[in-house]
Amino acid sequence: MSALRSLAMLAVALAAITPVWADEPEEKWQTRAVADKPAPLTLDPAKAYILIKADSVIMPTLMQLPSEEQAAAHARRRAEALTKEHGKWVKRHAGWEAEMKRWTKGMKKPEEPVEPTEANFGFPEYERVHSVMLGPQNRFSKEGGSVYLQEVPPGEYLFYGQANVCACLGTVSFEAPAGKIVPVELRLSLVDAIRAAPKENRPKTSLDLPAGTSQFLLRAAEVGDPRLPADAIVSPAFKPAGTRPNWAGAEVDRVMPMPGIFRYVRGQQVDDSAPPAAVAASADPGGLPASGHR
Amino acid sequence: MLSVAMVAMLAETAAAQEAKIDPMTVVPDPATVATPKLDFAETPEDAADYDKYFYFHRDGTSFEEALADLRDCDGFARGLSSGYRYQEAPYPYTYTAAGVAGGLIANAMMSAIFGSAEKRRLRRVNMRRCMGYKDYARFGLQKDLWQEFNFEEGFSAEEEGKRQAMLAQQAKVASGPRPAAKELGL
Repeated sequence: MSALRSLAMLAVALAAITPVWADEPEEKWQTRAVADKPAPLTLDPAKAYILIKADSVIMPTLMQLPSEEQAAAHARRRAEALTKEHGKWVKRHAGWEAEMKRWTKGMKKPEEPVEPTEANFGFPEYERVHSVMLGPQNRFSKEGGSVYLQEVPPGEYLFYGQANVCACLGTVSFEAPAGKIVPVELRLSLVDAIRAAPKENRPKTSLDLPAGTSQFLLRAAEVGDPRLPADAIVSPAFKPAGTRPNWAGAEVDRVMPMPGIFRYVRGQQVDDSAPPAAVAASADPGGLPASGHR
Repeated sequence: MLSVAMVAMLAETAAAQEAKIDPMTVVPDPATVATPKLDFAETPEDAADYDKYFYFHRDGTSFEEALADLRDCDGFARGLSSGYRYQEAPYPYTYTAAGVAGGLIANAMMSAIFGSAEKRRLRRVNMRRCMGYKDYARFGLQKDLWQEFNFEEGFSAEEEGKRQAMLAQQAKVASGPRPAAKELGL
């Protein structure tokens, strides 16, 4: 990776700490990186803790998925925002009609404002605005690589991607229960392949990875840090979480299949943890839900 | 069923809005989609550019399936700017600094730094990976022939009607006879 690219990635990281939506204090969603301190960690029983371990410095993005109640509240907020926006459009449209009455050939024709509708109204998805990027700094530990520990609201979390590559073509989620630590190991296939191959055979880009290898491998991490309460550590129960929109216009890839949990058939996840009947139904690519990028 | 020319034309007219025809979802009659020319005498220069100029094919795939797959991958490759979406509304939540929208949100900054060429490269990588994961094989093509039914996308997006007409032609190729050319891999 060039120095310029590294600098750009740092800029990306810094840009992520600039608040974008801060108008109305209707909901507070907070996460916190747990600092590397010698004392044993005291957990907040109202918070969950996600530990991510990797061989190198990483910048994974996690997104909280909504519960039914949270999804309903989010839908209400969208409806309210649409009503508000539609009201503004009515005024803008009236202004456009007045301009059109004054318009004559030879003048620049005023552009009719687009009416916001249920179908075309862009409103950020819940997970998109309940997301957090870990790293590259603020490591909880540097033992054997990089360990990041993030205090988050309890709930279901999705692995969205790492640095400037999203797992948009197939990812997983897992529960982060209150008062517990969920340890996840993220292995980067390209880094592993570069380290394993002799210099002359090293992959130059992620497209050079062996067939069937994607860039992200997730699994439960082994944790032996004496500062963490052992009885609070719970292994991640990964679930297939389908595709996700490429919101940032990033490079797209997917998480490697997980035996007994899911595999891919023609690019679609097949849930291998589901009862046999459900697996049979979802193995037909035509019968699977559409991708989520629209 | 609409012809591909009609789809392209309608996308640009007010009638499309009235008739609620969405060029991103309407499926043209494959019989009206022109089959692109794919045969050429390969030169070493052509072969050196196959990472940029290529097409996809999958055996036993219908035109409709191929078009759906290409549109799906095109959606991933184009990212947030897809479609005729109304503007994004401000979001009425309060967040801590780290929890705004994730690090990947600033990828636009990456593009701004690396320029249009990086965006074009990303599109190629994303189309190759997405279609490869759907089990499509990739075949190389001469640049001039490729440009007849493909587009590159830097900072300015391809006009939607033209885009969909080209995707339909790509679907015609992807669902057509198996090419005699050498398969390239992802």
